[in-house]
Amino acid sequence: MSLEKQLADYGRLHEDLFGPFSVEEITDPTVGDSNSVTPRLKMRRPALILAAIVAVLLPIGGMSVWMDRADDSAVLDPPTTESITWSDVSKDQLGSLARGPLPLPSVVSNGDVYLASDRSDDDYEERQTWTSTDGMTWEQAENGLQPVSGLSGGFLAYRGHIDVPPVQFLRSDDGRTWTAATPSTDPTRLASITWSGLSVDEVLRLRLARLPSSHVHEAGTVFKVGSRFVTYYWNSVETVEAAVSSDGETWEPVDVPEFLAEWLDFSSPRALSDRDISQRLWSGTFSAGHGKVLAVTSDSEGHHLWESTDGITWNEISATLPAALRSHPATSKEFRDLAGAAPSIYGSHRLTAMDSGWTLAPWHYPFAPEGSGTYHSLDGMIWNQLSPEAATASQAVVHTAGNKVFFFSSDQGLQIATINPES
Amino acid sequence: MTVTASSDVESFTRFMVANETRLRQALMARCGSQVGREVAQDALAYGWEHWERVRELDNPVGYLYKVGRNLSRHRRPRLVMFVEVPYDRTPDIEPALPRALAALSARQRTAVVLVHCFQWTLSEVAGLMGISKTAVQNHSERGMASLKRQIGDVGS
Repeated sequence: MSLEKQLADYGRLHEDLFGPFSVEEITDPTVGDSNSVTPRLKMRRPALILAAIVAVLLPIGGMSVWMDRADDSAVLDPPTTESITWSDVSKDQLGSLARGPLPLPSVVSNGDVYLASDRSDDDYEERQTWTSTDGMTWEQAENGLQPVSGLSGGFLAYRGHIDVPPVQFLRSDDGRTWTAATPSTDPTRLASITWSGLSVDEVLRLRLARLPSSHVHEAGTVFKVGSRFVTYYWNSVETVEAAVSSDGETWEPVDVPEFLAEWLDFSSPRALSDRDISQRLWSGTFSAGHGKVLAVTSDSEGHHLWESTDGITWNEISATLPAALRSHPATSKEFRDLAGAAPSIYGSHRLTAMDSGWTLAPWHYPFAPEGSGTYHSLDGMIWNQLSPEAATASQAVVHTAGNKVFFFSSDQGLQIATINPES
Repeated sequence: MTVTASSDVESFTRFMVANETRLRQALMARCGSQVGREVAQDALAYGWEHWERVRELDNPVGYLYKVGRNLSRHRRPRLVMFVEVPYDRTPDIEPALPRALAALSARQRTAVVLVHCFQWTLSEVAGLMGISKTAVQNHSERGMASLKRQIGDVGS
């Protein structure tokens, strides 16, 4: 039989097996096939109303947190306060930066220059980058590059598709002039790692070929805390393993804390889907900076915040989270009943270390839950919601880089919060 | 309790009737059978949630296609997979066809599956992919040539 005829038959077979959705399957949470994990989005309305009420009560909640801490003999020093300057940039001013099909540029910084990209891996040939020194005015720069986030000491980017060898790495000091870089680890593997707290030089000399597990399934995450490199990664049976290294070449296995094993383990009965588990690393579970690493997880009861100075021993500090994050379920009830209370990335927040502290921003790809607040903390303990105006902007996509928090939204263009700690 | 306006339901229903098949097929062509169908559902749900805005777009199907494609990036496994040919269909369809399709480049696969499996016109595929008809034809022809190299073409 001709190839064309086989393909036509295969198309019909495909339609028999993977046929159409009804309107009710999309809009009605009680209807649908048993394999789907699609959130019934309209069902979030009551939760959003609740979130709005919580937001109104946030100052009371914050006071409660403060009072709880006042009773604790181990209370830290009061945090320094921050000075936040807001800037607005219209879509017209953003030019080509705002013309993509989705307002999803990524933004990284080397301290002086901000580098944005439209981060589309599928259309990597058409990927674009822009540079800016103030976040307000952007100039189109090199095309085809995907900047790597979470690094210091310059910019690192790769050319190509994250899943399609060869992946070529380049480095730059200013985001405009790039030179080839030769990493010590397979570039394709390197491209799929989530980094935090490392310099560009450290990433390039890191050797991940000798991780303790002989069958590393996914590269996972690598962060640096103190002088130590720490990695969490999935082995071939998709359970999470951890290893530490002092030189970036020789790795020692270490135990995975229970909460992370549960949060990142594909075989966990609480895993809603493979998609959700893998997103947990990509979406900012960890962020290293300021001498420690924070981790955020979530479940049907709310978010949990963890702190570590070595990346292996963790203390839960959830009580320091805003009440809205502690009590607002990041998951579950908006999903179909069959999914039960399994946790999901949906509604979760992601951590990003910045020049001054950290941000906790709603995970957004592309479901940015409406009304989800973005929070900032100078010390990882006291969290304040950034401007409600920007934080609740319709469909705002939040990126943190340098000392700025960028809120992209299709309605309002770009709003920038520049954070400077007051001395 | 929020009550969804009936006009929203009606217009979204019209959108679904007119475009659901195209969006689902396009994402399955791009992302594989199961993942493609799942992200199509997620993309449609996203469209429903943001219907007030999506309905005003010049090309809502293209927009939701991008949404689904971006969602697929975070799916596991990342390998594109097409459903195996059932045993009772193997005399008609080469069993190696699904894997051969999956091995094509994303653009070749999208063009081949949409044109030859789902009978889209070159213009329809060009509109979806945002490239010229000629480019679609090139992708399709190269993809077909690759398939023939991999599994042969008994009838040709």
